[in-house]
Amino acid sequence: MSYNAILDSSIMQKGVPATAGSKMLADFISPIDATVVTRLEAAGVQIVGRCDVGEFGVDGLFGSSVDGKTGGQVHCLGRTQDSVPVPLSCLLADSEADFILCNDYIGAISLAAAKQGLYYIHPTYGSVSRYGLIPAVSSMDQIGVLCKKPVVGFEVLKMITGFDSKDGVMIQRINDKGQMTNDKGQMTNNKEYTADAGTDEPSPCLKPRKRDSEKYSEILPQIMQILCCAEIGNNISRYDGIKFGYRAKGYNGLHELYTKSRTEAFGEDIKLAAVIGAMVLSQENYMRYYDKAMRLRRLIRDSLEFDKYDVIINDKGQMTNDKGQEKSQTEKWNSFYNLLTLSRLCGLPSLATPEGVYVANTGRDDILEAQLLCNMK
Amino acid sequence: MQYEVVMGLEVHVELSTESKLFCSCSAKFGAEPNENVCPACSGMPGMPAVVNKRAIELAIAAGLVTNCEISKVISFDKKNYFYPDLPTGYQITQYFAPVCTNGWVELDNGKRITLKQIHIEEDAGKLVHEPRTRMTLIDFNRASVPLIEIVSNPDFNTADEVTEYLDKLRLLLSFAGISDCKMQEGSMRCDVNISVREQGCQTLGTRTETKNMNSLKAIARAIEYESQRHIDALETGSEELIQETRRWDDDIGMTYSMREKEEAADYRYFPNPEIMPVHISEEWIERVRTALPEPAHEKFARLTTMLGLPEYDSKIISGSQSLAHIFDGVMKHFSKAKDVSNWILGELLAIVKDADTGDDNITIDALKFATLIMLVDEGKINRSVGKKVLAAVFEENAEPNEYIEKHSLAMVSDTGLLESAIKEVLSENPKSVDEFKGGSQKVFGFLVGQVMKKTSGKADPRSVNELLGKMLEE
Repeated sequence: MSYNAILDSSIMQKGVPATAGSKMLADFISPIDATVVTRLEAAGVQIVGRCDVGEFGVDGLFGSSVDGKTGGQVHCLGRTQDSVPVPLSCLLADSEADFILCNDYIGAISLAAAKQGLYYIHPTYGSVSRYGLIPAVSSMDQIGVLCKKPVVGFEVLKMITGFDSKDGVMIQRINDKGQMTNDKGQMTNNKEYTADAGTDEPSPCLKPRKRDSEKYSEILPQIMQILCCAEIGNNISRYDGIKFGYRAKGYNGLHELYTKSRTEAFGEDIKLAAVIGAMVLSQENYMRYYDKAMRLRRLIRDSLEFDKYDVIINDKGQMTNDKGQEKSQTEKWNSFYNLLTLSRLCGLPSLATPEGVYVANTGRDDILEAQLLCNMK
Repeated sequence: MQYEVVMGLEVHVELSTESKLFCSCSAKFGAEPNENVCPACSGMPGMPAVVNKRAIELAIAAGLVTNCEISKVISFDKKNYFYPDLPTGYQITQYFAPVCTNGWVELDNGKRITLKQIHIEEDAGKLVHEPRTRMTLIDFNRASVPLIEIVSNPDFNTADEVTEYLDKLRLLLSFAGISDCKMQEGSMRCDVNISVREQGCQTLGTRTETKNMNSLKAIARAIEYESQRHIDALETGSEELIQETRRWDDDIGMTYSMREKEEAADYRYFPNPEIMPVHISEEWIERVRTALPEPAHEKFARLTTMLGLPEYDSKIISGSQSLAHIFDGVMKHFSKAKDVSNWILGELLAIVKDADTGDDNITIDALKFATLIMLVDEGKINRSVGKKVLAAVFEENAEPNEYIEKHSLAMVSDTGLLESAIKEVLSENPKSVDEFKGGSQKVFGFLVGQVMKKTSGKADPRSVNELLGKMLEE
């Protein structure tokens, strides 16, 4: 059975505008096909349209997506300023598309998807090639699958996963199921997945310990902002109005050409990210912000205890707060969002569903799939 | 007052890889502007950087020939600065974990210049300013070509030490095939950090960095000028020394200020998330080590002591990678070292000079060269024919035996043939014969020349001399 796909405008398709939702790239025609495009086409998938998910995917970095004010709105098949944003669910419902491929490096799109009754599969960092993906936050950029039916999503995931010599951070040892293996071709994680998909209780799962969840909720947004801003600021430094992209009309000298082009072309959030990014990387502040954020990132990753557990679950329905009372809707979505962010920060595969979030160990997309099937029964 | 000059060097060397550091464009010098450019090295988005493994190997080799410690894990970082020659707005370099640290290079007087580190980085594009149209053009051929930067400690005190060190470095690196180290083409560039202090003083003086010298001579002149400027400033107070970058102008023989270091951009270094750290195993280092050719100074010692070549011959052969390669190749088939050396330094270099290729690019089939020397040694052809054959081997890769046969160049020592040739010459030149008989010795040489001409240079000169002498006396 063949599927139809919509691509986020930061995924490059030869001869087609690749705008990444930015005026800066409004007239940028992609010179190449992204590896995911090549792989989808080889698998017989039809690419039926394109959408913008905010300028360089930055939506949600500076405002909480939880309150529903930002995120989850997409612009279909055109430039930001020309089209009316629509919810993701409407885009999928109204078109013939079975899924959308996009780069949800913040987690805001996943959150919006879950709220709208959709599913988002965020693959292990380095398992899907980023060749041909316009970069935003290189240490978190990862093309994922947004879909109506998770079964379709996992099928698409298998099509796009796999080593690509054109991306320097690809996991080299990956088997045909997208699982990371050791030299002998065996799975590397310490504990084999043992759940019987037929039982009601998904046994090998870990609900995050409360203190972790509380501790992370305080610092996760800050770490995300520091790292994302630093990398966005760096990645957009190539857009100078000279070689390609938007160039301001009327300028006096080189510096005014830079300044006017960038001022006119970038949106407010991207400008804010660039300014914060320059600040946190400056000689004066590097240790205080960027270096500290990187250390915390490592500490969080190391604290996840995947030697003991296979999957972290945030089940929206069962959550209580410190006092044992049921959490408010906002509190629930906040916890939900934190876990999505955690998976981005740590490069872990995650699955956002209307019922909850699952985060698995590196290279274990199969656990997410099994967990999902198990819960659906 | 006695002053001491203290200098440290930053040497940039382009690595001899086939392709660029992060894409598969050719890294060769001399192409048409923007011929070797792809979306990746021109800075377009969506092109993740993938490191050229060969560049890392050559950097490891550079560390090995300069006695460095090779790092177990290396990483790449981004250095942010905005300039049109840098397509992405950042340069990928090694700031936090360079490939090599703590090395040294020994000068002839035994002084060791210590190296702080060697790191890998990408080159920038080239800006071409056109004064006529007042336009600036960008050539990205050089963008992302792999470089190593060799950073020394402030161990130099004289310009002679600096030029000797650079010469040694050039030999070490070009010999190991790490770089062609051509200063004129910019594949080896050097920045000199200079400060001057009172003799015996422990603290260093104000440091200036001097750039843009493209020959050893220019470097020596720039050091001379800049250290004198420092001394004058200290003695007379004529100007205040500030930490800054200065540019050397070879035409006027002066340095001038480029920008003050204090005001220089904050480069906002951070680890490049697109490139995973690279682990360098002991096995990998050993593989690189065993693939290294013999260093020039060891080769020199071997040629003089073991093979008994004169120092003059050994120095020239061991000083050129291609001559050394040819010498070793020929010696595998023909073992008279001095003969081989004579052929290389005499005949081969003369042909190369006529052909006008640089010394570093000489290639010739070693077996064919050896065959030819052997033929001369065995008296099958004479030396002047040998030179002709050598030219054919060098230019057309001809096979010596076939070439000699095809052009009938085998040496004529058949007495009958020679005698008839001499007879003809004597009867054609009765005047010269008379002069010889009248006591003039110098016409003998003329007559020998005529016989050689008649035999198209193939006659054995010794036989001609003997026979001609005999026949003239008759």
